[in-house]
Amino acid sequence: MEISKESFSTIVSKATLVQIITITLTYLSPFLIAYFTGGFWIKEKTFTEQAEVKFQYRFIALLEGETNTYISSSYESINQIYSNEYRPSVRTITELDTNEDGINDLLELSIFISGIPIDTITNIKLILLFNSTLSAYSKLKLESLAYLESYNAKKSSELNFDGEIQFVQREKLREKITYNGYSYQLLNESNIDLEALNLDKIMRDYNSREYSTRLITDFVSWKNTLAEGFRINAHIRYAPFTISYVPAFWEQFKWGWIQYICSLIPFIYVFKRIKIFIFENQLVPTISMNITQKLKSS
Amino acid sequence: MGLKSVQNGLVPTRFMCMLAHMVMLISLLIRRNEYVGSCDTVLYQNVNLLNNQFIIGLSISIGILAIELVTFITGITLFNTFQSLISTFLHSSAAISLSIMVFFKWCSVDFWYIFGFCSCIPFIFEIIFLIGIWLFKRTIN
Repeated sequence: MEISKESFSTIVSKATLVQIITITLTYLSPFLIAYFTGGFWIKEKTFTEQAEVKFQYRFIALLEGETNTYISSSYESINQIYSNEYRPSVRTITELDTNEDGINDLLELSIFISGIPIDTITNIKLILLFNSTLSAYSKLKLESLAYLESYNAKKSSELNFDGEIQFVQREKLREKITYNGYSYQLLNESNIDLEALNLDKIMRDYNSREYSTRLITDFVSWKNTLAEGFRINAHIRYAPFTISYVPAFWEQFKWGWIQYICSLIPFIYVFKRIKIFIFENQLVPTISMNITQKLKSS
Repeated sequence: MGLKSVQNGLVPTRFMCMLAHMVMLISLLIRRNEYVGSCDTVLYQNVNLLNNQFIIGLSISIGILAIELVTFITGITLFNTFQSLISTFLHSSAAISLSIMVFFKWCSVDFWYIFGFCSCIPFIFEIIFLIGIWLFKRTIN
């Protein structure tokens, strides 16, 4: 049978010192271990989400030949401003859900711009506008933009390209915040003036956003078709967005707690054995008595 | 009292911890170039100075430890339980941290923390006990 003993001493004594040192070492060491092995709190985590990307059916195409420049866009006002350079276009747009998860992930786009002489185009700038919505962690609505610029030494009349829309973030997402500041329209359709139509300014404004998307082109090819007009064929994939975020308080606390308790248990055991050894062998002067003795005396 | 400290293993433990500390110090002294060489060369540009400092630190701790071993073995502080406790705790920590220093190739400047906490403190306590015994005629326990 185990006899429980209690040790007594005055407040200022070696026994008190031993108690203070063992308690500090027991409860402080797990913190030190956690801090020096990659930090106590988790500052950043990532997750992947298939965002809902929707093509807005809005585009601006700027075609440049050696002498002429042509514009075709879905904005009525732009077409009116550049009425000399404007050429009408026919668009075929299909958005597909190839992996059948309910969210579109492939855009097949074909734009045919008529009224352009055979094989005269060497340079193209294409802006496509999308709406992207993230909703798994916090709500983020983006007006996102895909920009393609391509140059060819040979005069051509058809462009094929494959690309992927990727998410670019300069700030970590925070929990349960609805981000509305990124859903404004880059080009206000009803009120376009010449100053707002500066491509440099549009791109700079867009790229200085904290959250945006980029078009990464895997492959671009130019062709001669010996036909009038210019044709753009595009396959654009909506890749799952990899988003890094700051974990909320309870998520951080959970992992901190697990780390702390896991490394605390061995320390408690070891220091308990040490304390028992010290007090049982009277290494520091204490008055030791059994519980039964204590009861009798009181 | 004396027999009890041998029975509960305090005296052999203290002896083992001090010897482990001594072994670590001597092995560091022999292969000190590795630890001087792993210092940040931008912060510490004078390697010779570092080497000399490291030799001095190691020699002083070996000397201090030797004095402690002598007072321990001759029996002056052999049966002093509190001194045994401090000595065991700090010298075992020193041996563990020095072995970590060997494993992770610490810079030789980091040795001074170990020197301060694990060599000087037990030596100061030892001196206090010696003074108490010789000048103020305290008992050996």
